[in-house]
Amino acid sequence: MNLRRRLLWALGLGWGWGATPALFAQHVPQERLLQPYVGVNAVQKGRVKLEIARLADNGFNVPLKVSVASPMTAQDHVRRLLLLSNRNPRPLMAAFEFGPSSDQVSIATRVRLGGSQTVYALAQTSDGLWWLDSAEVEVTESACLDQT
Amino acid sequence: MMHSRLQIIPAKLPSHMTTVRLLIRHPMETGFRFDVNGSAVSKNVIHTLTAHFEGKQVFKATLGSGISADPFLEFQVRTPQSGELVLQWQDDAGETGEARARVSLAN
Repeated sequence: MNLRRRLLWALGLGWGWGATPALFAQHVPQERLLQPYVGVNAVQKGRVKLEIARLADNGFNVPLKVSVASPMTAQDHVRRLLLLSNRNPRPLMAAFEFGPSSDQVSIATRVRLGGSQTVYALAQTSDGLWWLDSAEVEVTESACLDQT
Repeated sequence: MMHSRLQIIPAKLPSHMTTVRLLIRHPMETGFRFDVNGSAVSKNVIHTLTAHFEGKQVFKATLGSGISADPFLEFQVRTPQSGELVLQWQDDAGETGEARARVSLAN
């Protein structure tokens, strides 16, 4: 290969890199993913339970279940529950708000996942503490087929 | 008006907890997709969903593009007495939907 050809190659590679970030999508580290929501507060494991299949054939439609152990009284209840993805183009998949009038906190829904990743369920109780549970999911077919 | 299906599993004593299952027909466009002509399909998701029981808000969900097309949602609501449960939602295109159900206590 002569120099010109090499340069063109490099150019092509550079363009490809910029145009298809999905192929090189990075998993967002946990601290950076949670920081916009929890700030400097500590996050503890426990109380939250995230149930999701280890293997998802199809990232377009992944069923999951989240429950938070809480007495749900006026003094002690779950304020918010967030579903986060460390690989989707928009990390916040859904946020749920409860009042003391809701009873036990248990949510089931179906999410889109853009590739194999870790899914986080983050809950804030009325005392301001943050609770976390996470689960790794292998996704055979990503929900992101375009350049996202 | 968006098409939806609502299922209510009656409250069991003594917890007075009613299970609500809601399925809405909606494409939940992410805004990352392109149509056959190559032009971007604009983002259109159901961004807010609320549940009111007897006029009081009992549940609120903020959804994003990370929720599947034809969103399904199951949650629990405390219903100490019989009453009406109203679910309302709105998408980015400004379209709204509503589903109502009469909740009566099973004894």
